[in-house]
Amino acid sequence: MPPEHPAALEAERVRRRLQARMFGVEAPALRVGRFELVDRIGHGAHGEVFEARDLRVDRTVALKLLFRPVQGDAEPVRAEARALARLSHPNVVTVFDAGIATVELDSTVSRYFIAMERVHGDPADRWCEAEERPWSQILAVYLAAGEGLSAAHAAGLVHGDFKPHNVIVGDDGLVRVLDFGLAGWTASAGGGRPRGTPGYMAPEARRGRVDARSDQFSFCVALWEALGGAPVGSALRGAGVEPVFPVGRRDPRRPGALTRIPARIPARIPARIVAALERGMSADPSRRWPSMDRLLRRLCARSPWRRAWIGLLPLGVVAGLWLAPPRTPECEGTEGSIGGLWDPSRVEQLRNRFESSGLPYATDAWNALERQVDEYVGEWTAARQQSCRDARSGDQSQRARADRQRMCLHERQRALAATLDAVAEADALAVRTASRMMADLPPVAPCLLPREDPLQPPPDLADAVARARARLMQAREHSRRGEHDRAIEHAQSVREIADSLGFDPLRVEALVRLGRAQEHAKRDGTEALDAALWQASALGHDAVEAQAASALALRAARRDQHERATRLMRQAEVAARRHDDPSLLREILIDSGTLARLRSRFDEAMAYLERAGELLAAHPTSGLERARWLRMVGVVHSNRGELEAARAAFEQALVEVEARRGPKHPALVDYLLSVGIVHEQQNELESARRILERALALGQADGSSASYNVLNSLGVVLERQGGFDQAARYYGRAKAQVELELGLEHPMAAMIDINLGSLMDRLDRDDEALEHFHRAAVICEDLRPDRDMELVAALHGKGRSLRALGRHRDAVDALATAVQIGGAIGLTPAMQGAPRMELAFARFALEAPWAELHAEFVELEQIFAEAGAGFEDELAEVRDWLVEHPAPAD
Amino acid sequence: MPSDRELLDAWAQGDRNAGNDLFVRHFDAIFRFFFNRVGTEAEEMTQSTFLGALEARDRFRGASSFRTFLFAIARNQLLLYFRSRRRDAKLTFRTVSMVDLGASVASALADSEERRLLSEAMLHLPVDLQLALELHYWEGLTTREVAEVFESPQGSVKRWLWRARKLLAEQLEARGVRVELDRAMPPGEPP
Repeated sequence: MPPEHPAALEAERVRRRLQARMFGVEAPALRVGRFELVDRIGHGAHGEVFEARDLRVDRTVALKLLFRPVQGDAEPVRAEARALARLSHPNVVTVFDAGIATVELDSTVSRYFIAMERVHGDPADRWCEAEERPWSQILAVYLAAGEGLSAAHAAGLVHGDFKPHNVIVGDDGLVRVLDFGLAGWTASAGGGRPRGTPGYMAPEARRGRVDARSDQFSFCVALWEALGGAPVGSALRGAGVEPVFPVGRRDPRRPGALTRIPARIPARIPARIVAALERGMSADPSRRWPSMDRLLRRLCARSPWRRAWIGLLPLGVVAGLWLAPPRTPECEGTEGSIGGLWDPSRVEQLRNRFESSGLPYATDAWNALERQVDEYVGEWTAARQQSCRDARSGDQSQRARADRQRMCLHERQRALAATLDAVAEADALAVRTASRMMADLPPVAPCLLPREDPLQPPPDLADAVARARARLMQAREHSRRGEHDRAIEHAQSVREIADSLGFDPLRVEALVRLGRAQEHAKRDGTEALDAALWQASALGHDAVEAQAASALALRAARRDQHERATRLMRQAEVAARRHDDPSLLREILIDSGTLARLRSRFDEAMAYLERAGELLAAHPTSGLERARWLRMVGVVHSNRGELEAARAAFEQALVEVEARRGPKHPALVDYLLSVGIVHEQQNELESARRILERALALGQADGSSASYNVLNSLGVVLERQGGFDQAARYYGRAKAQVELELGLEHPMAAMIDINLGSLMDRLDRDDEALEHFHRAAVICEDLRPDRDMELVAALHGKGRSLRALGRHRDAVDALATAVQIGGAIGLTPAMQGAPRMELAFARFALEAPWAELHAEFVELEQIFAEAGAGFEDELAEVRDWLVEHPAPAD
Repeated sequence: MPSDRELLDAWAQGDRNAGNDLFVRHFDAIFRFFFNRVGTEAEEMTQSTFLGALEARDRFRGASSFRTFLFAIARNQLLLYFRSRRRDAKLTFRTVSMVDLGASVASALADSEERRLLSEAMLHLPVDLQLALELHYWEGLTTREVAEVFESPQGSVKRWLWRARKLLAEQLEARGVRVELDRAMPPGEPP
């Protein structure tokens, strides 16, 4: 064969190897510059690629040596390599270095080299031909490659020669684009060939004008071919482009032959994908998509399911929020008005209500009431000012007492507010009983009385109680670490000690610890908590009352008993305010935040957290309290869609934990998880992956639990990166761990099943998808109504899988239930739209009445059109249907 | 300088230096033979060809050159390789081309446009015709030697070479290249 020169290096490498192997001749490995050639990986039109050892940094690289003769100096090449090296993206093969290297054989011969990350895998063309792939899988590979192109474009780089052979489907499941900018280097001076590869080149590229849109063109041609759409020639002509080169598609039955296959793309490829690709292949660059991103969005064929639910299904972050706290009155300036409760306009308003009731005794009743309220407010204001002055002038103990007084006064204020609200009804009952209601208000004066501390043990018990309390502290620590059994054990033993000592405050402390530990362990702590609450409030043990009430409130909230939750949390707050310890109040505030967050009242949640933050600022702690608080703040930001703020909070939290505990401490796991998730949400997948992997490693080193959250999140990230096999493995591990630690029926197991189902759905493995969705649905069904959101998601997925499997009747059952539950829990019309659309398609397959279906599609079109961003794909699908199935003629 | 025959015999007696000398003499031609057809497999197949020659040395009667003997073994290796890979025991190089065997046009190594087109055109010829052209024009084998490689009469080989040149010219013209065959190829014996 003629070309001798290009094979010379490989010939020399093989000669040395065989001489050593066959004849024991000592021959050093062949060197090019600072690289030692190990193996030949392959070659393309521009050069050959070796696996090589970079002796300078001692690492294995893929070394590309260009055939193009070296001309001039290496600087322009190096400059371009540096630009490439700066581009770090999971879907782009990393370039380490480039330049000119001297070939060992002949010091007068140099070659351009590019040292890249060594990736094991197949080019996309070979990957496609290796076996029959479902189109969705092919699409997923190209979408990942498209992300790589898009990232390069964002960095101002153009590929210039995008084609299937430059996309590597790694054995690790990741998809990477190769050879960025190479076309520019290899445009040989002598050959006069245009840059790029003829079959994939955009028309303007032939005239030497290449930009991001040319890459888009090549990308579309490659994907078009990969999806079975052929030949590009006619597609191009259809788009008004004369093909550059006779392009055909390989006929799998005749591997050598370039065959022209009819122009149509297979019918199973959705029309909108075809349309999107055709636009990307427009001859006129300005008629293509404005960016790769836009194109990719349009192509995300099977993502509507996932996207519809994103943001609603938690990825595994735990956090918290609550209800509006009263503002703390100032010392001065509110005389007589008690925070607006009793200012002149309110007085006037109430009087008018009374007068207009038309009751004969209304005026008298009003006069009596007005006098009573004036007195009460007068007393209250005086006490408030007294307490306030004490607090400002006094020492620590006086301030503590003043705090307690203020809480007491606050309670009175709320009681008055409630009474006046009732009075404002001004119906017959209210008018008649107003005076008596006022008289029933708790008196103000006792608020100012000093109190004995009944919570401290008599001297003879002091030691034993102190030891028992220390043990409770340990129990609390165990709970925090997830060692629930030990926490429960400790709390129970202290409870027995308290019984034997006959010291009630310790007993309720043990009870509340026990109940909280049980709740943490996902067991029912109601009995212990109820007892603690009831006995603590009888004892005046405010701290325990607050803790018990807030734990019960959270429990109630999780069961959707929001009235009860709110009431309990208010009780907790009042108790915490009575108590001197700002840390308790802070925790209650944070719990209240959680409560509000669980009810999706994010602004309220943030308000509580801000107050908790004020307490933290005023009373700094040495522990992780601030970090925990920051994490909650981040979660609420994240819920409000404020990702930047969420990220800042999570990262700050991480910094603080790391500063206090060092970089290897298992406490970091939760914080890394949050940071990783927010990176994922901001589409910084590679850093998300690194962070989560670090979390995973820390968790494993510690042997501690809860890493299922990390595993699950890693699955999500890998899935988005196109590493489907790895994603499936991570989900699988997460699931195994959840089942081991939380049990088969835990909602987390359902969450992961939903993720797995969605992954399988994406890979067209509908049987498996069905299995996962079904399991998730069964779990959520048992937990109704706690997990209705997830139930709707699972049923939606189940319906999709059934439909894909041709079981339309079963699909209709699942989807109809999804739609019905979705309606009951108040999903927005757009959110409801996804399962509704699926249902309509299933009914269409069952030949439901045409007119009815048509009306449904028209309505869906309107819903998706109004929903706007995020629902473009659904809108397109509905419109496609409507175009193909016009209104029935009357 | 010892002859190929002497080196081969010495190698067979266990003289590895002799084996190495023989290997170095013929490596380039054999490696090149495989490289453009089987890529990274060339290393293994080159090794098998030399070891095959050692085993079959009794059949090397010295009437032909050792190089011819090696090429005959190499061609058989290649045939066996494609037969096993394609699971087709009847595969013959008479009709099937390298492109038919899956060689990618893009894989044609070339340091110039002219050579690229030539390589590409060659890949479309039936493998035996391509081999005959290559051995005759680039490796400098006489038609008698080429006939030995193919174990065919010399007259047939001459006709193949003539057909091969004609097909090659057609292939090149289909690519829009007008080729004076005598200029594009090194001089050989007239067909």
